[in-house]
Amino acid sequence: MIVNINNLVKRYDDVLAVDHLNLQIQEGEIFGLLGPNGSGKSTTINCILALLEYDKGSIEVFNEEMSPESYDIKRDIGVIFQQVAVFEELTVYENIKYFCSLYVKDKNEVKRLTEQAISFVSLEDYVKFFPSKLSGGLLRRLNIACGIAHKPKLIILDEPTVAVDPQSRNKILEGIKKLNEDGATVIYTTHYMEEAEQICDRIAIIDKGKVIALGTKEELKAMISIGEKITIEVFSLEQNQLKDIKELPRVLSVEYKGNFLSVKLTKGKNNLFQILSYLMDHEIPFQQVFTEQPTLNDVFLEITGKTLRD
Amino acid sequence: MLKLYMTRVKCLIRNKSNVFWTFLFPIVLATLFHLAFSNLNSSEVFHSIPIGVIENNEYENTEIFIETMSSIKTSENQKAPKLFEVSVLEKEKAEEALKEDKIIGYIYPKEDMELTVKESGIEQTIVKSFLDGYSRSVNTVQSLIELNPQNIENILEDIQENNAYLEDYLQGGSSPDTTLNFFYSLIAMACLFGCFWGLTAITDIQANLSLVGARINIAPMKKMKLLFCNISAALTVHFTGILLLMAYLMNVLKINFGDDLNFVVLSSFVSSLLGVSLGAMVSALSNKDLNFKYNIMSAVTMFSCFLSGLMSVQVKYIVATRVPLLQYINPAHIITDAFYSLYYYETKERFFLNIGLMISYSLAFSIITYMSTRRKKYASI
Repeated sequence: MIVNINNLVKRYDDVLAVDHLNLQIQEGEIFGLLGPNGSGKSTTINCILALLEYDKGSIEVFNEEMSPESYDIKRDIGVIFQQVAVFEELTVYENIKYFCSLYVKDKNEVKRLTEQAISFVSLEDYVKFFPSKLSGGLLRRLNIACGIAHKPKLIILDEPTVAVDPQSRNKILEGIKKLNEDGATVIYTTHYMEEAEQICDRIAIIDKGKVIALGTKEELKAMISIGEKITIEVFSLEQNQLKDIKELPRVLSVEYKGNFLSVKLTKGKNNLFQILSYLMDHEIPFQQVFTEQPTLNDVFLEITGKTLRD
Repeated sequence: MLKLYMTRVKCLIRNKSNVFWTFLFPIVLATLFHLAFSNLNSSEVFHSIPIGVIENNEYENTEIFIETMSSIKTSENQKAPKLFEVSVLEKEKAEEALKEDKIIGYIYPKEDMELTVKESGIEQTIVKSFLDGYSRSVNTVQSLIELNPQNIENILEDIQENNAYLEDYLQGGSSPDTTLNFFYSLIAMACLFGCFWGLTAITDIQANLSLVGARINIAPMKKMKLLFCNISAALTVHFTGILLLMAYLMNVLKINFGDDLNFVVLSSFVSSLLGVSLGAMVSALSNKDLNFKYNIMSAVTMFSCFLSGLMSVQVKYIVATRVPLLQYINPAHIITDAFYSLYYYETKERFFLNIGLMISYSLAFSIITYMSTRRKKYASI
């Protein structure tokens, strides 16, 4: 086990930020911590890193208790913070080299690792640039390079794609996958469910400092009653017809808004067929038809009664 | 460790704001002071008082009087300028010269010396005092001779023997210069600007104060090692700045700091240490953001320098007479006084008292910084 958190409790005065949290992260996986802002994700990460004091519980990393003096453990951890944490006075190359040299003593090795990190985040053309001259996306890449240059076994990314353009975001996500393929275990915190779904092997959904659901994305989706969402463009629909649709088998909820009929159903065969049949039988004209599998947002919504972006 | 130190030095010298305030601002201010004060000392140079003496052949002592008046100097130093610039004139020419302000007055030598002036003033008063003294002396001698004519030789010997019972004594070998305090206060200000270097040195290694600090705290590096590197780098860069300022003041502006260059360098180093350690302590004690701390330290530095006489020497005098204890707390005053005592006093007691105070304060600030930063985990970030 790479990380083992038992019964972690962290308070900020009267606010309970982490509430008896338990997590076990296995070697080689990309583990997602998914939750809305203020749910306790960053606090948990800072506790794992022994930056924050906590009130109760224990944290083990690489099967050893984590403390500020655990230098051997720290040597194998790389962190990419939510905000860019680099020196404004150093160039791209100097920044990566400086942070790498905090982990690696050999001068030649530092040089080699720095060049590898630059290549990994494709910043070869910007090595002599100061951070103030870089765009937001390039800065994020520099931030990542500073965190992973020393080739850590455990990489913790705390919302690395916040305020990043789609192109840079994809590049970052591809990079994380690559790091994982190269053998690193990844802890990835985000409030973007699409990202978690895209790259994480297992996901813990956190709210108010508690793990409310944990598993693979399939396991999480299986936890909720919604099996399918069907959306159909319908130009007119009577109230009694809406009522009829709601009474069809396996229908959980029906909503008609802006010429779009949205129906949520439990898992079952012929869900789409039975709704389309109803519309045709009642000569109700329709155009576009969409079907969707439930998302992690649906999981969160069903468990907490609110959306992830609330 | 050397690598970390060197990178830190690189970081610091690329910080434009700090470089401006530490390296350039004091030099610019010193130049402005120099330009503003360059005429101040020359205006204090004594010029001989131009005075006319009317030729009076009827008064037998006229020649002796003129000789006496011409020989008086402003001090006992052989090189000192003459007190009076005597011109022997006819009465009409003397009146004309007085009208044209070529002389400040003219004397008609006789039993009761007669002085004619156009207006009253310091120079006229000096001439009047001299004449009164001269008349008194002449009368005294005449009275003594009349009373004891057989002892005339002894009386004349006594008159020629000039016994001085009071003597001017400068404690140092240097002559007083009223503008020096401004430059010393300026150095104090530049030294206290070291607090900005101390501020960033600590902020950059504290996880609760900066993002870079958080990144550094998760690295497998002993915090005290980083603290030592950062403070050493801050001190190196700041002290270099102070040495440059001193070199500029001494070599370009020709400001006098006394003869012992080693003590000047020692004062600069300890003053720089005081500034850096003060900033480090403030940074370690407060969780406020860096800009807030910069503003606070700017205000503290300027007020401290104001009390030490940067803006007006009178303020320094008022503090010294009314709140003397404040002098020993005010870092700018201690720094200023160290340079002041180095220049003015021959003995080094006062200088070493100031150096001792600075080292004590620096040590206290460093201990407080260490106690505050040795904390490994934070309550919040």
